[in-house]
Amino acid sequence: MGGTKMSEHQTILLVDDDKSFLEATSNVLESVGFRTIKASSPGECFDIVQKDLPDLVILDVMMARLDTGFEICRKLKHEARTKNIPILMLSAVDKKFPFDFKDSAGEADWLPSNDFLDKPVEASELIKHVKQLLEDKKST
Amino acid sequence: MFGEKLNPTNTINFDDLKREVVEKGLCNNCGACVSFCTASRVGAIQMCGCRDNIPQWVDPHKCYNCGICYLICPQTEDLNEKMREAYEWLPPSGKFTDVLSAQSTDIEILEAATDGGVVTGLLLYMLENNLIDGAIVSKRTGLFNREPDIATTRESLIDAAGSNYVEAQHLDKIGQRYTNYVPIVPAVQLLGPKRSLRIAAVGTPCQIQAIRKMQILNILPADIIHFTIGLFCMQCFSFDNLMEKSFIKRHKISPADIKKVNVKENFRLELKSGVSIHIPFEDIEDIARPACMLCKDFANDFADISLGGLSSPEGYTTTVIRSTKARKIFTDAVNKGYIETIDLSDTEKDSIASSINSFVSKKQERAARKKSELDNYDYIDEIIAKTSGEQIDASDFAKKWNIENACNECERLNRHLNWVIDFVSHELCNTLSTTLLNVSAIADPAVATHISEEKRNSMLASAVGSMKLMQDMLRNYLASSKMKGGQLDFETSEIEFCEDILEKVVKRLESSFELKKLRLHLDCPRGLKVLCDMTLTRIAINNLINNAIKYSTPETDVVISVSKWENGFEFVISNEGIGIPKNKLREIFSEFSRFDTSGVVGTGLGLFLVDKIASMHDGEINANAGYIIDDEYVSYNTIDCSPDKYSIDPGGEDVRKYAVFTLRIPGTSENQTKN
Repeated sequence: MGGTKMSEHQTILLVDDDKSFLEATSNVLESVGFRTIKASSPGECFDIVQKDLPDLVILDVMMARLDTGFEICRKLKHEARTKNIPILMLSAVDKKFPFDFKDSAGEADWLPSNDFLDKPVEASELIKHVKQLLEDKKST
Repeated sequence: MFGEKLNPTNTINFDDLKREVVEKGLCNNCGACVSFCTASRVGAIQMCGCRDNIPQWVDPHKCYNCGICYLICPQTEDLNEKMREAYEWLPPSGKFTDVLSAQSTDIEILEAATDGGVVTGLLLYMLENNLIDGAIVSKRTGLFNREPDIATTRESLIDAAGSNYVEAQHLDKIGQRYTNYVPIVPAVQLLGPKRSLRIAAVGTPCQIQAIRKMQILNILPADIIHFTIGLFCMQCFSFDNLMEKSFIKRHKISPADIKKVNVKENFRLELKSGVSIHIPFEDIEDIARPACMLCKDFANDFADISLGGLSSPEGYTTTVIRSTKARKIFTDAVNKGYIETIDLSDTEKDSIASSINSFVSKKQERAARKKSELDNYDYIDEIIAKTSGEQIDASDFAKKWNIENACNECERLNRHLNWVIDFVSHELCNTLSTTLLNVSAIADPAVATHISEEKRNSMLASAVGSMKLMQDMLRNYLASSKMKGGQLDFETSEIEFCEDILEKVVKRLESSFELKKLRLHLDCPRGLKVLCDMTLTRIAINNLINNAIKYSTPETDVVISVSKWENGFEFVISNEGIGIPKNKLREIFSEFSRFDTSGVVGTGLGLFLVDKIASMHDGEINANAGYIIDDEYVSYNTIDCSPDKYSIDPGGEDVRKYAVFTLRIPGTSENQTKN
């Protein structure tokens, strides 16, 4: 499959417990040339990064618990091996929190994610953010 | 049925208890009503699990209208006269044969005890001499927190001794709001099916009264309680109020400073600094539980033996021996060296009895005063004033009580509403996300050109599946709302079940079966005519099949069989997947009940609606579950009956679980319309 040159061979780890959404995200990103790996639980996510370092992680916020995505994000960013992988968080839960957690995005101790997108998201918007994050990573 | 014998008019049920006790804020949270309903497998009510931990309906349709929940409540009076007769009650504090000051001879018990450790000493004597198999006690779990427990060893008895508080914890845990109150009656359920056990119970007057009322009616689970130890009780204290209200500030105490709490002639706090603060009960009525304000029983009049710190020297327990059984047990415990007593003269005994009676009078006078305030007070205006922001004089007991209850209820309803909006919007948002992502990719030429035709078809199928799921969720939510508003139409007509309902639902969900590669086995006789509401029955069947698809392991079997049942049909659906936990087999039909939501979109309304639709048809829905062993479905009940035959590791990787739902709709003899 075609796609931009930049996305060739780049791997994106998708973490979401909604398997239909995982499949849809994977289809969209693979259509523009990325390779995707799917994880539907924190355990699967950490198993995968042990074996295969992705170029980017797309992470759902609410999985088994309201803040599962936050925990995964903190853990990945606090480990030397994975801390430079950009993380894009997707969330449909902002109303569930008593504060706007996106204000805290980037804070090392609380929510060290690189970017946020609200669900539902259109394919083009998702692709744009993914590409931007990978560009940013390349330039640092 | 037991209910019909006891209550031939069949007019009392939990609604009466709710109106007369629960909604007035008079519930003691003893859990007796729920214990009976659960132990006798009726399952119509349960404790709400909310902050106040009050009983609530879980399924009114299961109620036999036996009225037992009402009769055994310590706040209702229907059985009081019978109870007084049965225990030969005499005014002012019940029948007793002796009053003593005593203490345990065991150093370890004395160190743990608040007073003389007689409760623990007696229980230990009974346990070690095979008079009981265990005791229901309140086990310490934090600074002001305790929880019911069945103690069967010396260690667990000593663990539960006394009221010393050693470490801080959150105070808002369910069922742990009151320091000197632990819901012991439901703890009998911890014993499970071992109904031949002999158990001793330690409790406050309301708890012992609930047990006695259950014993008078000879009902479960009080049959296993062989001995009752009653504690003196002026009132139970809410320690979250203790912290929140002026009490702590007034006395300049930090919770961390408190070493020990005791109730004797007054409320006592012993601080770590060695300072002891004594506070009259009148001064702390604002932190007491409202239900206690109407209780007249201080000395635990109906227990076998009553105990407390009042009027005995420091380190001793005042002991009131009431029953013949208590006399023998206490004497034997003394003779065998478990307990020792102070040699009191008759005058000294009279003085202790008189002191007890003065507290009995105080409690009875207070109950009469509060009852009168409650009966004569119209609080509606005050609630309106409070909610409109006006200042009100809330010095009056009834005002405070009722206003607080009404405001708490409003707060609870608001929380519930917010939660519902949040929950539904989140679940809908997730489903919409899948649809939008798939469709927007196909609609965007820059993306779509790179998608193969096969992939495009699969993405469209996924989008359609998500939209159907969203349609189901919305329909369930609307049907549930209409049902609550009494606006759900119900009209029966004769239909052919397989052709008009089942095949159409299966066709609609075909793509969902394919996505998970599930194998559907369908056994439905064509031409089976049934009388039912077609729209509602279709919703029920759709929800049951959808549920099976959602919770099935991919590439497994879903088996549906339909047969004629009375004028209607029996629909059975089974699937292999996450199964249903044993203790959730009824709960799953409750509104918003979802025991495993990870990765599965839903509103928690599907099975709730199936249950309601079954009831509207005078039918029933049942869930069963268990393990698949050698390709055979073995239910939890079968395993429980033959524990030696089956060896299962519930957490094991190879464990296979199943769930089966049976919906029976009897049909009707003629067309009906309900609303």
